[in-house]
This record gives sequence, C-alpha cells and structure tokens, in this order.
Amino acid sequence: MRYCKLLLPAFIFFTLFSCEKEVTLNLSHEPTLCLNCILNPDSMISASLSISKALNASGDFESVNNASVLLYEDGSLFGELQRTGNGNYRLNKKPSVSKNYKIVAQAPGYTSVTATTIVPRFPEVATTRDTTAEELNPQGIHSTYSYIVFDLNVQLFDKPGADNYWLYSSWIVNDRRYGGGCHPINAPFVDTFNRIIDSEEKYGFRHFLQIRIFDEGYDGETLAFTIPDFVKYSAEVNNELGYQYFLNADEHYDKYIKTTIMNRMKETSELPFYEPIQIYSNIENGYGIFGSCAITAVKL
Amino acid sequence: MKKYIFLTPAFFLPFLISAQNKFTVSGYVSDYTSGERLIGATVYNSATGKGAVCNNYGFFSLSDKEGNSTLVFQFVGYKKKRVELNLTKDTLLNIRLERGIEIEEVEVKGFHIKQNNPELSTLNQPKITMQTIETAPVILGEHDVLKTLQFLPGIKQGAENTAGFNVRGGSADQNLILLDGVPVYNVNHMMGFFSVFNTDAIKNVNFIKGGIPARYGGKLSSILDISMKEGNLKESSGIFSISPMAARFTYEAPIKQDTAAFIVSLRRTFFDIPMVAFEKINGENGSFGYNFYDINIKTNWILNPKNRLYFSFYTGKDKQFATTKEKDSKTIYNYRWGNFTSVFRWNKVFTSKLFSNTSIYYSLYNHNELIKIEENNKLTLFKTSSDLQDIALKSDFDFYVSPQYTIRFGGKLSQLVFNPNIIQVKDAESDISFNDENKTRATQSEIYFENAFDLQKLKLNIGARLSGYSTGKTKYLNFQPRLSANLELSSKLNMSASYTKMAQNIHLLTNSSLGMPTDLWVASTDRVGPQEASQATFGLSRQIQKDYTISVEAYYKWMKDVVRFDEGAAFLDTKESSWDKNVLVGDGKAYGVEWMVQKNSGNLTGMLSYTLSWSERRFDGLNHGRWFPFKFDRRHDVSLLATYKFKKYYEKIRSLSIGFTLQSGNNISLPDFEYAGLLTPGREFNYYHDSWETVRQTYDHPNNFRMPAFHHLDIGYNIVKQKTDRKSITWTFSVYNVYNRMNPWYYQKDKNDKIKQVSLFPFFPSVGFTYRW
Repeated sequence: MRYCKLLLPAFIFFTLFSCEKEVTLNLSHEPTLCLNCILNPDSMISASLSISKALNASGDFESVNNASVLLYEDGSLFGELQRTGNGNYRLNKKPSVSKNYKIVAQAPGYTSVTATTIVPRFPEVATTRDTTAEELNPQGIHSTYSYIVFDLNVQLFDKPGADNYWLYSSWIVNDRRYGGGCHPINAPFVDTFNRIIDSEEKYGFRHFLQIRIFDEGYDGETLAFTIPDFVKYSAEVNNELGYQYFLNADEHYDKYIKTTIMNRMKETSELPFYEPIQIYSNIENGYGIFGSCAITAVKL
Repeated sequence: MKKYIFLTPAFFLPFLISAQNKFTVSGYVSDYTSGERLIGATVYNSATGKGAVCNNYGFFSLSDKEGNSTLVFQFVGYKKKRVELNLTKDTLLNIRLERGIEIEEVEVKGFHIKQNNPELSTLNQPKITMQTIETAPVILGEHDVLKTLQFLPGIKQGAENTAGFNVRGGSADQNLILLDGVPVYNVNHMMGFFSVFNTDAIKNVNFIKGGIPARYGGKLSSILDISMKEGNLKESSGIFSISPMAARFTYEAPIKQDTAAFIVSLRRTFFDIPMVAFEKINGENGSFGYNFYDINIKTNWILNPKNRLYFSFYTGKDKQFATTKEKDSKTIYNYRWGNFTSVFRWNKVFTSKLFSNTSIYYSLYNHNELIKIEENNKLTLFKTSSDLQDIALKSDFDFYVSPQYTIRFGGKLSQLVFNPNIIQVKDAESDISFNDENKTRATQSEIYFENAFDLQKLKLNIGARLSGYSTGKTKYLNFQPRLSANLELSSKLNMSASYTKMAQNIHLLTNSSLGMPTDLWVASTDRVGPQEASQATFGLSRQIQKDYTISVEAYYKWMKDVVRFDEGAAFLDTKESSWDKNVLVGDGKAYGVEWMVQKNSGNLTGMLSYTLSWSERRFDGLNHGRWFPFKFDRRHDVSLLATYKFKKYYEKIRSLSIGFTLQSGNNISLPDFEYAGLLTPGREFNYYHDSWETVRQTYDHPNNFRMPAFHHLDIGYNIVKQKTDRKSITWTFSVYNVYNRMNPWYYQKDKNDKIKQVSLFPFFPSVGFTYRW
C-alpha cells in the first residue's frame, strides 16, 4: 500500500514516458556444485548434491550421484555419506550438540566443496495456556462447532552465547498436514527484519513467512512472550492443531533462512526496481548451505 | 629534532613575505547595474603584476608599496576598469564593473590569476558558469545545476536524468551541497528528476572535488557551494520563465538604493493542475495529484562600508495527495517532503586586511506521510515522519597578510537533531508508536586553519580541520590535514598535487539510489562511527594556443567506515527497526584518471572529457568480506558539452549547444544463476511447494551485472532577443536523446519470468520561455 503511494510521481513518469521491451541478457554461469545439508541431533544425516545453472538455462537441476561426501566431527572422520539416488546421500548416524562438523564433497569434473558448522543446543522451553474465548454450546448458523481460543505463554530459557531461534507451527486440515509461519508476537527480542505494519493485525503488524528471535541484548536471560490466538475446534471439525516448534539455528543456517525470506519479500514487493538479496551460502567453492539446528516441539 | 629544523623556514616564510609591504587597498567589486558583488573578480597592479581575487562576498585586499600605482579590476563578462592611485595610507575602494567584452582568464606578466583557489587544478575545481548552465540542453525545459555538473569528468550521474551525482567513486551523500553556506540535505524533487535549485535565483556555483581547502568539511567527496543572487541595489528587475514542467518568477529590487535590496524567487510545477481539473470535471468523489514548489528569498543591508547583513531563506516541498469520499467513509492520503533553510550572515571588515563572515543558520529536512481513514465515525490513522534539523553558528576569517600570503581560519558549532522513521498507528482501540528510540541529538564542533601562499610560480594551500562530534556518551575527534599545490612549470604548463583527508559524521541510508524522500539521514552512533576518506591527486595542465587547455589528473581515494544497508534492510518498508542494527560498515576505494580539453573563449566554447575509473566496496558481513564493485563503478565515461554562439543578428543572440554522454552502464545486483534450495522451517509438512521454495536464484557478488553502455545526445538552441537594454526574451528549444537511445533504467521480471527492460527517457523535445526586465 505504502509503496504504491510513495511511487505516485514515478508512476506518472513511467506512464507518460517509459518504454518497456523484453530483453535477453547474457547470463553466463559456470556450473558449480551445490551442497545442501542441515544437521539435526534428532535425525540421521542426509545431504543432497546438484549442479547450479544459469538463470536462463532450461531443465531441472542436474543431480550428482557419483560424489564422495565425507563428514568430520571435531577433526576426525565421522563417516562417509552413502548414495541413495537422485543426488541424495545419507549417513545413519546422528550428530551431537555443540560438536564441530566439517563436510567435504568431491565429484569428478567439479572443484570439491567444503563447509563447517557447530550444532546448536536444543531450545529449552516452558509453556502455559490462557484461554481467552470459548464457545462450548454453539447455536445458530455461524457457531456450528465448539471451539476454544487460547494464548500460549512461552518461557524460552536462553543460554549464554549467540542463539538464533525460528518459530513455526504445524496443523492438520482435512487430514492433511500443513506447517510454517507463526502468529504475530509482540516482544522486543523478535527480529523486525520481516515485520510489516498492518493495522488489521492484532498488534498492528505481522511477520512475513516466519518469526525469528535473537538473543542479542538478552543473552542468557529468560525470554518470556505470548503466542496469541490459537483456535482449537471440537473433534467433529476436521481441523486440529499440531505442534509449536522452536528451532535453534547455527549462524549459517540462520543467515540462509533470513536471506531467503528477505529475497522473497523483495520479489513480492510492489517496488518495481527492487534489488534482490544475495542468498547466503557458506559452501566454499560452491553454493548451497551446510548448517545445523536443534528443534524443540510443544504439542498444542 | 631534524624535522623541526626543516620546518623553521616554513614557519618564518609568511612573516618574511609580509614584511615587504606597507599599505593596503581593500574593498568590494560589484556589478555596475545591480550592485551584485562579483565572486572571483580579480585586481592587480599593472606595474608589478601583484594581484588578488575577490572572495565569496566580493571582498578583496591587496597590499602594495607606497606611491603611485595603477590597479586593474576585471571579471569574466565585464569591461576592465583601471584605477590610478597614490598610495599613502590604507585605502577602501568599492569598484563597479560594467558588463562588456568577455574575458576568460586574466593574464598578468606571463602568469595567470585564477578566480578561486589558485592552488587547485582545473580538474579538482572545474569551472562551471551560470551561462553554461543556462545554455546547456535540458529535459522538459528545466535548467539544472546538478545535471549540468554531470558533464564534468569524475562526476557520474545516478539513475538516468536524476539530480543525484557521485564524485570520484563516492556515494551521493558524500557531497556537501551548500546554498548560501547552509547545507541542503535533500536536493531532489520528484524522486530526483529535478533538483531543488532554481537557476533564476543563483548567482554563482563553485565546485571542488579534490584538494578541498580546510574551510570546507563534513562530507567526503566534494563541495558544491551555491550562492544566491543578493538583490538589485539599483533598480527593480525580474525574470519570468515557463517550461512544460514548471513556471518561475523572480523579482528583485532595492529597499533603499545602494543600501538594501531583496530578491524573491518562486517556482511551482504544473503536474497536479490537469489532474485535479480532470477530476473536478468528471465529478469524481475525490482527488489525487502531485506538485512541488520552491521559494527563495534574500535580503541584504549595507550598514556602512565595513558592515553588511544578509538574510536568506529557502523552502521547497513536494506533495502527493489523494482523497476519496464515499457514503460513510473518507480516506485522506498526504505525503510531503522538503527542505527549509534560513541563514543570517554578517560581513565585517575589521581592517583592510581582515575580513570576516559570521553566520547563524537553520536547515531542516523532513518528510511526513499521513493516511487517515474515517469510517462510520471511527478514525484510523497511520502516520510516519522523519526529520533532520541542523542549527549552527559559524565564523570565517580571511586575513590578507600580503599579496603572497593569506590566512583563513574559523570554526563552527552545530547541533543536529535526528528523528528517523517515527511511526504511529492509531485506531479506536490502540495508539502504537514505533522507533521513538531512534531519536538522536548530536553536537558537532569544527575549527580550521588555512595558509594560502601565492609565490608567483607556486600556489600552495596548507591547512587542517579538526572536527569533534558527540552524541550520547560517544565522542569522535577527527584531524583532517589538507594540502594542495600548483606549480607553474612554464607559462603554459602547470603541475598540481593534493592530499585531502575528510570526515563525515552523518550518513544517508538509502537503497534506491534515486533520491527518494524516504532516504534517511542518521547520526553516527557508538556502533556506527564517522566515515573517513583520504584522497591524493596529481595532475598536469597545459594551455594550447590561446583558447584551449588540456588537463589530466590521477586520483586515489581510500574510504573507511562507509555504510550501506544490510542485505534486505530498508526504510522503504514500514517496519520498526533501529537503523544502526541494519547497516554494514566497511571500506571503499576509488581510483582513476581524468582527461579534459576545454575551450574557454571564442564563438565555440565547451569541454570534452574522458574518465577511466574504478570504485569498489568491502563489508565484512557481505560477499564473504570480499571487494565488489560499487553501484556507480563506471569504467569509462566520455562527456561533451559545447556551445556555439552565432553572430548577433537584428538584436538576436542565438546559440546552439550540444551535450553528449557515453558511459559504461551502472552495476546492479541481478540474479544470474540458480541452484537447488531448502525449504524454510516447517514448510516440509506441506504437500505442495511453490517453485521459489526449492530454487534459489541469486548472484555471485553484489552489483554483479553491468547494464549496457549508457549514452545519449542532447541538443539545445537558444534565442535571446534583446528588446531594450534591460528587457529581453529568451526561447530555449531542447531535444533530449536525439537518436532515441533506449537506456535501461531498470529490469524487471514479468509474470512469465521474462526479463523486461524499462527505459524512461526516449527522444524528448521541449521548449522554454524566459522574459527578463
């Protein structure tokens, strides 16, 4: 809304004077290894390898199935990831919290790629609920089903050291599971990078796609906040709440998520001459991400 | 110890020089018909060749031996005036020059007296006259100081046809732009398509991009010092101009002849008038539109030959508005931004050798957005505002010790108030404010000292500036040495060199490079300190035949603590954020060579230049800490600006002007490859994913893509019909982009993922009319 109005003079100018034509830009690009791997202490280790391509090249990404992918833990070989097809690799081991991991992937014809990560600790969370509204004996056409509206009061016990928390939830509608996003949170430690003013929202703003909490200025403290307005319907409605997740990401995965969201914000903005965001990558000699996270889930 | 012995002669040199003279002739040089003081007019003794140059207030001081002498006063576009004197005491002279034969440079006994700062090369201080500005081809008939400057070497325009400019690899906020000595913080109207400076009210433009003297400070890259006309002390006069874009009206007159005068100049655009008229005719339930205006007012009062007061005022505003009315609701949208500057100055001649100017000024830049919705008697309000206020007291002194030695010194104390991006959201239930913590106050204090030597073949300026800056508990102190020298190797060959260190305590947060009103000025904080730059230049200049000068100059600039928004952060977004958490602080470097050929006299005048340059930036948190090209890192730049004056025919003076620019394209960040991406947290639960979720389109380094070469040819044709001595009519015809070059302004993807190039300025004819009386 604001963009449009800000750009009224530009719009006038563009309408009067601008000329638009389709162009083919010379976008040359050297195909390069792309490695994606996020370590999670709750999961076996998996990675994928593919080849990057020029923006105007057609077709899907080429998978790399003949690579050697080695994982080191605190300097010692932890294991070699086995090929499972379609560019995927797997190691039937789980990483450990606070350990340092290094990955090295080599594929014939490409420069080998490498990256490191330190697995963050699990978020320590305590929650309580406050019911804010309920309709248990519905009558009339607009209140067919019983429901309860509640706020989830969260205490996130931060530990000394930098932590980057991402919040998301899951839910089920018509037996189909969905996930992502989060209800708006009004707390000073919530990152504002994707906050958008919206007077129709509860706090006058919303967050684009995800919510990020960072502990700068609150390091080692208990971060108390409320996630408002969960609606729990009666059993006859095929619509149920799942889990509220608290993900602690290492610095690389954190930047990767953040730049991805920012880029999407730019892409969907109404500003015609926006400058895109460089997607963060910590892969040396290649692209993609090698990061880690630890997730705590709370049943809603 | 040795270095002190080495410095001893330098310390005593000024006193040795000054010991040779006895009496001083001082005073002002002004225009005969208007009384307007002539900045840069020269005076010299025809026998000895010793000379002086009038300062920014038209004041000169020349010491000489006792006895008879002939002083010659002259200025470009005016007749020479000789004054016979028998010098027996200090003498005060007020000289009036009549308009007449044009001369471009004063030649005295084989050496040149340059107009201002003789120690600077022609490339460090390129001369740009109001005549050049007023005859240069323009778009939409609006002459523009800032756009004409962009024809000079080392100065790159931002986006096409915008007033923002980048000097020697610096960013647009690193230019100190002064109007009557007051910093103007936003120089753009309408997203930068036009500057705020109304050429009808301007007397003089002084531009410096290297070897910046110590009297200037506060910005890293350049100084643009614009002086407004003072007001006609003799008789009333005026200018009325109209172009497809705007109308201008200027009126000046004496309040008391030869004692006090004023000038008023107004400019307003027409953009909203047809829109509003159309809406009224069609009986629309609302209106929308856009306009801007400028008002310049200046008065001056000569109290006595030694004291003069000036008061200048400028305000300019852009306004967008939209109102919609329906049965039970009304929506009002207003967006305004603009400057307000005012300055009170006092010129004082203490002695024939000591001149001072004391100023107190106030400069404000603000922008406000208001969305007000009234629906069923319920009010919803969304309001944002930002402002920067600068209040300062400053004093500058010129002490003319001898014709060979001038000391300049002074100081400034200013208070800066920043209120960036204050947001209020209000409705019946709540009233929320954001960003109140961003409000900042800062105090800036600066002192400087300059030693200017004119040793016939060697012109030298050695000085330093010390700036202190404090905000909250944070304090910064910057010592900025300055040195510039110009050595005459022969009567036609000059060599120059300079070293300049500059500091900048305030930063402009922008990510559009367009001169958007939302660009924010912010103060240095404990997290983000002042920017610093050091620049070294070396150049040669040679006069070829009588009219031509060819110059070459190399420069290298180091920049420290330059700022830019972190990836994705922007105040274009209506979101709460503390600005200094959203910026990256890094380094910059810029280097290059500039060549220029100038023809200063004759029917054909102009300049042809070529610049080869590099400009790069580096930030720890971006691009893995590696260097990447600056957005306006344009490798090659060829510019031509020329005017041919035809013979006068039936009281008509006609001239044809040509402007041509050929530059490497701007750099932009454009995704040029893609790779497989991971879903953001939680999205793995979903059975369907959009393509953007699993594909990352990105680029290797910021500003990775260079746009195609940028070029256009513009032609202007001016006819001045002199109806009487005072009255004239001027028709200005211009064609912008004669051969209809489609220079890309930006690229965008359409719905089918096809890349579209958008060009804004095709072949564009326009006409302007000016009536002077």
